Amino acid sequence: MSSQLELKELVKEYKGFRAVDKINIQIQKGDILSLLGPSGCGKTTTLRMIAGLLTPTEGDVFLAGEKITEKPPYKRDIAMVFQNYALFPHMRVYGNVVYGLKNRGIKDKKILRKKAEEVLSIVQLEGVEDRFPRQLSGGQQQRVSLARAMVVEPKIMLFDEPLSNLDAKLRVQTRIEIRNLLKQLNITAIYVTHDQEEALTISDWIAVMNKGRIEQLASPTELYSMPKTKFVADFIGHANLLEGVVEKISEGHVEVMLHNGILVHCISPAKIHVGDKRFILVRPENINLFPVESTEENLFDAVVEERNFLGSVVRYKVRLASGIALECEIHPDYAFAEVRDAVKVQFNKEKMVLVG
Amino acid sequence: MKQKEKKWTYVNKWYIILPLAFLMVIYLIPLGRMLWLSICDKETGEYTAEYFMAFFKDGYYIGVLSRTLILSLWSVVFCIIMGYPVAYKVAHMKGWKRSIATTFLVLPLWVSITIRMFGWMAILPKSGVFSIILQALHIISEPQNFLGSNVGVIMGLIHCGLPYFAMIMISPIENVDPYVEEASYVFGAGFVKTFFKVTLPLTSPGIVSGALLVFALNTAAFMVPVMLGGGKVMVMTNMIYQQTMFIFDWNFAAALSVVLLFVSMFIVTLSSFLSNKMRIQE
Repeated sequence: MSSQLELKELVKEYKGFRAVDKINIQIQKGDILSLLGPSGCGKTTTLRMIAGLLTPTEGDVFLAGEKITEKPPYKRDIAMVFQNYALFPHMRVYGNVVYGLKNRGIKDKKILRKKAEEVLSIVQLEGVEDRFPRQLSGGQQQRVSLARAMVVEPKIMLFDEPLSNLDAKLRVQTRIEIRNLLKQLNITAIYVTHDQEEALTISDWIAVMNKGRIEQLASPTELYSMPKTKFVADFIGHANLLEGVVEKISEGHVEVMLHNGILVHCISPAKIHVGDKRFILVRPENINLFPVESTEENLFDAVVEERNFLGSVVRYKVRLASGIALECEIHPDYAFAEVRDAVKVQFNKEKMVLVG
Repeated sequence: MKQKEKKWTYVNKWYIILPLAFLMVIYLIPLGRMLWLSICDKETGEYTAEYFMAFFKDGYYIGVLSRTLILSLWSVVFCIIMGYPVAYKVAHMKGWKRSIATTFLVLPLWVSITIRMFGWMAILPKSGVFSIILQALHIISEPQNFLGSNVGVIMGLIHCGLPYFAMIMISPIENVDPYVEEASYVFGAGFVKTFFKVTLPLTSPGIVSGALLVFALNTAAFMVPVMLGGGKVMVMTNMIYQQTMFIFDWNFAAALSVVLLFVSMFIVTLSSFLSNKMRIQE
């Protein structure tokens, strides 16, 4: 099966600086792929090349099997939701929503009216057709922007950080709604964001980008539990990264000597050799704290440095006797330790991952 | 006890009173005197409408008024057509290129109108560059003298109005959100369609204010019709000058000024009213 969108060796160069450096992506129809990364990583540049607003220096863009690299944006069957909504301020909501349809040659007023009503009811905005964008709240404007994009039934929908202008609560609610809508209508989408939580909830696939390259393209679950590189591990969620040297490799597991002399077992997705210097990822939720008098195996001495109550968890910063600082998250019911208490630390062995 | 508000910004009421007083003396008082002169009989000093009657009864005067407005209107039309693209380009420039472009745009304003019109007096005659260019473009077949013609005066008026119009348009064009134009491209409109459906409507308030400024300036233009009209193109300003300086009929001159003032004011008010109505569309 051919993919809905394919980026082949895509490069964008600005005066010797590569904003996007040989990117390859394929996504199937109905899938949502996020481009995730810090600002300046090339994610927006990539999106704008898919939209046709920028021309790639090298490489090609294929939409549903057709090469569209050279096509101007208005000849591509796409739609886009912008960060600042980019609604036409001089047109009413109705005019905004039917703009794309009119340009696609639909002239019949009845059809236009019907389609606009339909799509506005999908985004739960009935009865605002005759208002101007400025008369709507930010959330409503973003829905109009979403409706304007959905109504043209594009081959691919592009999202450029669409939620970053909304307040936190609305953002969480809207991203779930966007995912549900896209899934319900089987729309293929590329979603650009710098918010990892947003990317994790909304997408089927995430491409983590850094310095113009894709660090890892994987499902949200895989990305979180099996990051390939230190950058990905650090960027997605909270991470403790411990430096160590590979001591012994056995089936699926490796033994790694941390630089403080502690030997730990962990799983490794990457190819490694004995003697390699690597990082071990331990997520904060995979570290347990025990009272200092505990006698279980594999416990390390540590001292609590910070204790932050976050509601559903308590986040600790503890320092091992060897000097390594760790972040861990404990359920409030078990968060007995206070600042400056001596505790014992246990790593969840099954969840320790060797990264690049 | 209420605390007295501390003043540390020094925005003072005198900032507005002094300039207003200045304007009052040099603008409002003469204006009032002019209004009074126009409705006051020069012999008896009683109220009279005779000067206005004289104006509106005579087809010649009405003709001068309409010529004034038509010349001004044409110059406005050409200023929009020629100035908008310039402003569009400059608004999309950055850095030193933009500084250079803006400098060149206002450069003509550093030279007095009289000098610039001397330039046009060299361009417009039968043997001048203007005639040669029009012949080359096959717009006219024979060499033609444009000095002392309506076309010549319009050229001068465009020359004077264009820098103002272009400068005024830069900021409204710049204020159009580039993402809104991009949204138009993404939703299937090409450059031309985007221009007429998005950019132009969004900048129309700017066009109106620019056009009104040029219109007001050019209706009141004096040197241009004097120098390029060569005495053959009579407009309101010339006629007022004639009445005051040669015929010494100050009362009639005042009436002419009042007519010009009110007609301009009426047109300006009407256009801004209409443009406000038009802005809300679709």
